[in-house]
Amino acid sequence: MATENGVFGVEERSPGVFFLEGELTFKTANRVLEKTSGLLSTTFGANGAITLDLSGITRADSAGVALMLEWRRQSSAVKRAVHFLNVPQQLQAIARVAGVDAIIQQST
Amino acid sequence: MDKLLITGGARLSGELRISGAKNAALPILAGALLSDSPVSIGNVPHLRDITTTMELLGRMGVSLTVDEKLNIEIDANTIDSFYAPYELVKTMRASILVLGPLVARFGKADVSLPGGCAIGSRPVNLHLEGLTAMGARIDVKNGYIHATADRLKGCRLVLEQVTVTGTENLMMAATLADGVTILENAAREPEVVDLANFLIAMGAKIHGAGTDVIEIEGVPALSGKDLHYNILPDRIETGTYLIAVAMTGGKVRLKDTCPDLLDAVLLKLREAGALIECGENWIELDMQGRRPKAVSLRTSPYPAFPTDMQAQFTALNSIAEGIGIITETVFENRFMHVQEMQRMGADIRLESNTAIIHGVPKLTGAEVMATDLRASASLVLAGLVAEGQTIVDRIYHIDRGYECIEEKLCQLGAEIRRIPS
Repeated sequence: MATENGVFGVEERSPGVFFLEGELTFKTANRVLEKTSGLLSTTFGANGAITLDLSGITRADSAGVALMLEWRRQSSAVKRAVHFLNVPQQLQAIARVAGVDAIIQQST
Repeated sequence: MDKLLITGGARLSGELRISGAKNAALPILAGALLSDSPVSIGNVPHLRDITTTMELLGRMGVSLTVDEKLNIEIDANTIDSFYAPYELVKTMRASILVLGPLVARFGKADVSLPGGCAIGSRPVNLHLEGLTAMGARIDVKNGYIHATADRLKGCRLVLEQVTVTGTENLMMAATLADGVTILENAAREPEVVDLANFLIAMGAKIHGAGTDVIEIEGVPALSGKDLHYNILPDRIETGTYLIAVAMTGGKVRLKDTCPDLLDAVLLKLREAGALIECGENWIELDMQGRRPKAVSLRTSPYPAFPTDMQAQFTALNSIAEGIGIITETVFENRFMHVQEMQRMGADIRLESNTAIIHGVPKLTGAEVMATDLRASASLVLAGLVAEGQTIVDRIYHIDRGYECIEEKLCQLGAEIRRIPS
């Protein structure tokens, strides 16, 4: 899957399971939000949950953590669970510094 | 609450990277409030107190971003509140460090009084007296410091006692004051120097940091534009790991540290029998499998022996050969680790501000409870050499000042793991 302009892309690999590829940074945050908004309210996976696989994320800063929090918030608003898979170490470290690691904890 | 489970007996060895100094990072993060442009700060340790400071700044409306290398960029131009609430200040006394910068740059601040501290009396009256002398109007009401000021005015301030955060707060306030401020009886700690260097990099005019007289000529504005400032290495973390290795008879190389900041500690470790070699930014310690010898020391402000290393040397003396006498002159209640170590079989007698420690050949593992940051570190050190298992409770204390302590000790071969609550 090619990322748009080499920066970010999202692909549904099975119902409700999305593979994210590219950067989650200040540069890309707005575009990422545009591309993913609506996913959480209109897509259904097993038990109505959405899974975001972050193994394709190449770079991230605190905007990436903010995006994850926003996805949690959006999913909560529509009473749907969102699971994070393969959260990069970098994102986990930034989340720890920001004190929000428990909120973006990845699913096992 | 999380606990640490330690199985004693491993001889520690290996290499470790030392983190940035928490006690330098905290005032520098507060000092970023003085800059009229975004400033980038690196080598920031990933600790609870850093997270708390970021939360405090964030609640004031300050923009904080963390980049992929975990550098923190702070833009105080978006600030919209000058309020530091009790719920944050009570968890971290260093929150008081926003007072000077807020008053100096924005002319107002409402900061909660920090309240009591487990290790002793640490009043902030010297901060308030200094700011008042510089022209701030201060009213302490309902547990809060309400401060307002037109532009602060430089003056001569003689600090009644040496206070690190007092020196830092007043130094920061003076950078934007009208005229020259002279701080006498200033704290000389390396973290004060690091703050001064950060402020100078933003355009401040400061002379004498590191001595007991600091002169600050106020400027109209400070700017962190294009500045990336790396925090000084943590000398207390360095000393703690050196002692851990010394206690276990092991060998270690600590990287990205600054030996020059640890003269008093290295001297005592050499007295204890450690072979120590230093480079520009590394320290190697080798005990050659030997039991340490007991050492005596007296804590005092820098450059004398640091109070923040007293508990760790108490732990070393507890299993050392001979009798060591440790006198604490900085904080009046900084021996709370002693009773916990006695539960592990340490032979320690307290007389007023002095601990007389008869080294025993072995400690035995026990369930112990941490009461403050450095006491908790000393209990971990004791656990590393105790027979059997030691469980250290309330390790949220240790998380405030030691980055990834269990991972770093595991790297050196310790058997230690966290038991989540």
